[in-house]
Amino acid sequence: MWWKITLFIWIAVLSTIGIVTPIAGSLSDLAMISQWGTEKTIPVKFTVSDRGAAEGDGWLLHGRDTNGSEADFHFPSRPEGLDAAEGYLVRARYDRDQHRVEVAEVLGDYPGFSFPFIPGLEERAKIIFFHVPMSWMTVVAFLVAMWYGIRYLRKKDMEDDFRSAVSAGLGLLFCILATSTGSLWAKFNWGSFWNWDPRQTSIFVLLLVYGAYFALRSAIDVEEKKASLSAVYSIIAAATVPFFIFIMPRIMPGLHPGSADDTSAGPVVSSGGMDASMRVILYGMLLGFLVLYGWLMRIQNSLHRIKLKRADAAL
Amino acid sequence: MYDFLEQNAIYVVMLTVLMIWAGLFVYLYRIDKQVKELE
Repeated sequence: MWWKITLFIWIAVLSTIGIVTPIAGSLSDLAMISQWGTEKTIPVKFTVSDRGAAEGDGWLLHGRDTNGSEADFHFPSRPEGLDAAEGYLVRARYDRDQHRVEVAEVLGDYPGFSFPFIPGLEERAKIIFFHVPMSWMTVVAFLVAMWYGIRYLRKKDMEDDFRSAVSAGLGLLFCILATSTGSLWAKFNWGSFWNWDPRQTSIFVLLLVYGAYFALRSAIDVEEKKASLSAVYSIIAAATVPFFIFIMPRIMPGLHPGSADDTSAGPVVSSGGMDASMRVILYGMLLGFLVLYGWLMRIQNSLHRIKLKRADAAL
Repeated sequence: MYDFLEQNAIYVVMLTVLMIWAGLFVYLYRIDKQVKELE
């Protein structure tokens, strides 16, 4: 009972932190964005190092970002609570002519905890806490299906066959969720729901491979034959999983973060790719979904046992 | 709708979370149906 409540609180708290935590960039992010010559503003956090003075109809003060870089920040009016403010989180752009940061909007006080600004992803980077655990759980569930497949072939226990099928089913569910959440994200990041990006192509093939697994199971009536054939199939299918999830999308150039030609944000694999705070929440969510997967497996198992008992009683 | 989501990317994240819970809900619903059948 308690672990279930803990699991709920765990996932709820981590999801909330993942969604609510503000994104805050640094001065180097501002400088990089300004190189592209756009009027685009991005969230930046900085501490006030000099409270400055009125300049024209605005206010000019001096601030320092988290990397220790300093710049002048020009506010459209005197910022609220300036006398006591430690710092601010603002939406701003870098003005290359005036060599100062033009603040468009004050978002709030200096946040103690924030996620880094990732160009091109921004707020959408937060999908990593939900979408990535889905695809990793896909891998776990398919590997567990393989594990029970091997066990079935060695011991010929129908219980193992059932577990293998349930795990493959859960894997397929997670795989569909990873695909659909990724596709929604792609609409806003890449401009279309489906691009046949290497990542999308490989997960599509994976869906077909495991779709065929269930087609195979439903096509055979003899229980033992169904069990041994699907056990063999799940072993062969699981051998392709690491290739489709971890290898192919990373050795081919593509749009997905972590592709071969991705220089900025190969989030999990590249050294120093992902911010430590984001990493902690991602791994926490992974753990949460892992336990949730175990729970669903357990429910299915007890349900199966009851079914077997009923069948025995009926005989 | 598209423009709103484009401007407020956090709602895209919210939608993905909703999709995941909808998927898990459907799965739970199917288990529940099996339990009902057993009863």
